[in-house]
Amino acid sequence: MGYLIRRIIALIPVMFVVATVVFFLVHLIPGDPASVLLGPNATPSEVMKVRTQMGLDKPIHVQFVIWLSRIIHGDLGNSMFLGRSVTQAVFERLEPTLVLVVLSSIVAILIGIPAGVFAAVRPNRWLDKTLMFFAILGVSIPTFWLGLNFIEFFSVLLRWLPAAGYAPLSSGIWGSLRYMILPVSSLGFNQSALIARICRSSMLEVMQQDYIRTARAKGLMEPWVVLKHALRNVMIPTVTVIGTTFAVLIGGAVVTEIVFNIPGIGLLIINSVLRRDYPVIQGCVLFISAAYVVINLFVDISYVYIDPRVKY
Amino acid sequence: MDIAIEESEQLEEDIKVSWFEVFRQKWYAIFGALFLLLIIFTAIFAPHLTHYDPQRLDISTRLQGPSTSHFFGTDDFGRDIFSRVIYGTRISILVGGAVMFFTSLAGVVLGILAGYYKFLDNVLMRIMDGFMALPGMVLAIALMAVLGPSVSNVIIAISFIFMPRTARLIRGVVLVGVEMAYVQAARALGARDLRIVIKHILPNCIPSLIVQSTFIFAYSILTEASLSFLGCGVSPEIPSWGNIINSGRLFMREAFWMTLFPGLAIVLTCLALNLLGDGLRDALDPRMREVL
Repeated sequence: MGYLIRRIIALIPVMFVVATVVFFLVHLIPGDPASVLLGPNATPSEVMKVRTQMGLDKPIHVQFVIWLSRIIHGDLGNSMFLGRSVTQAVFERLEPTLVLVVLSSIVAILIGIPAGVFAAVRPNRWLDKTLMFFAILGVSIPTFWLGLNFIEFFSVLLRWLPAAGYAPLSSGIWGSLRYMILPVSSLGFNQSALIARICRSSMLEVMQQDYIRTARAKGLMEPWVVLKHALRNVMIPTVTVIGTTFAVLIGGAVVTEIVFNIPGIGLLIINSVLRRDYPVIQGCVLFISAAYVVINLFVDISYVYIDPRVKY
Repeated sequence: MDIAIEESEQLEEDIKVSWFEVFRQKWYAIFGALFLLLIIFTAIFAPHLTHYDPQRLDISTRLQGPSTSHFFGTDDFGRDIFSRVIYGTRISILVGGAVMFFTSLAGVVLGILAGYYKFLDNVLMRIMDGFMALPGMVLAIALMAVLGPSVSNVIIAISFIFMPRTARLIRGVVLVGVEMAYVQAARALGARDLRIVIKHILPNCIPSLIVQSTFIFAYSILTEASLSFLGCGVSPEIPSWGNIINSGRLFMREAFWMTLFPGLAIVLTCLALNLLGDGLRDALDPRMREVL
């Protein structure tokens, strides 16, 4: 419990840095954000009005303190185009992104861990080499290109699955899943490659440990050695990588949402970029960073359940 | 004394030979290195490799399939895809190389400062933790939205997202190095901090830095392609691989070659870099060598 509190307190400086970067993001805009926002035809009084609206007329440190106190209260500001608060806009778009990310992670784990284990059981044999070639290929293929090829092959050519779009979970699980199969496969493949590689290398390390030799020496069959003794020890680095690659996953999700036209947070971000809706961009970056930090907190806590030796 | 020096020189020689030997046995890493050289060659001599201007519009040759006159076909404006892909290597190599340079530079400086000076360590690493909590791709998109589309801004955005990783890596190596007897001996002899860092600590960082940079090169190419595909990368008229795929997206049904060939270029280049990086890691990192 003491560890948990310390761990949460350690998040404060991290989130402070995140908030600072996000705050200064808008101030990186060359020139005056307000006049950039309004375009070349705006009158000076209009620019002044927006400047006051955005709080840009105050000194920068005052702006920063106001911004910090606002986000601590959960107020991410208002969208300039959507006519609602950023928080509201993000939560409206949360479901598709969440479904995409969660399903992709499941697919990635289901492919990645067995691939890594099978590869490591007999290192440098043909299965290991084949699996690791696919793992390297997986990190070399751009997710968006893989997605485009999936659409071309499975939707256009074979007509098995819908090419793009999203059906909310409330419209039925199967109907929703049909739309998700292709995006989840393309995103999950990329992620599984990362997991497989870490899983393999930690498996190789574990298999050299004394307790593995002991398990074999007492006559335990190899599958049991792997399942009962090795796999559990491989889980810690593997779970860690699942946590740390969440950032890669969410980046991939943004691109995948564009390819498959899924109305999630990624599409919201890109549309906001095109509309120069800076509060929404800031809010999304902040929201995703917070999610990343929380997920990694859970990863740390989960060690206790994976490995009873870990005590906080 | 002389014998000791001779022995240590011999040992150094052994280490040098053995890393090269290990590397030489990895045929895939050699393949990766050769392919990378080919790509760099293509980037430098792009104008000599194709007689089509990548920007030349010719509506009469619109959306033609691959043929002997247009190896990779033409796009919706009649531009030659082969030339565009060839010229695209320039953007990818430029972005990858520049990001590799800037992340290494910033990473080494920050990593050494944090690893060597205890009082800076906490502050710098908390800042790096914060940077690393920002999701890379999303941050790059946001930065591009603010900075505007251009090659140099893409380089800035991607360098920013990978720099903390290199800083962390270098810090780790420096932390170990500072504890080494030869560093303490140098300090006892009155060597200045800068000299210790350059002569005794920096060389230890090089192997990890080379390996990491190879992977960063590959990731930068992927990230640039993704950004350009999303319309937040280099300006749309510049032939970068991501841009070509983005413009081909609308014509996938009638002109698959518009997305196929630039995509393959990305995959093969990144594959080569990742294979090279893997081989280098096996060769340069003795810890990995034992396991494999």
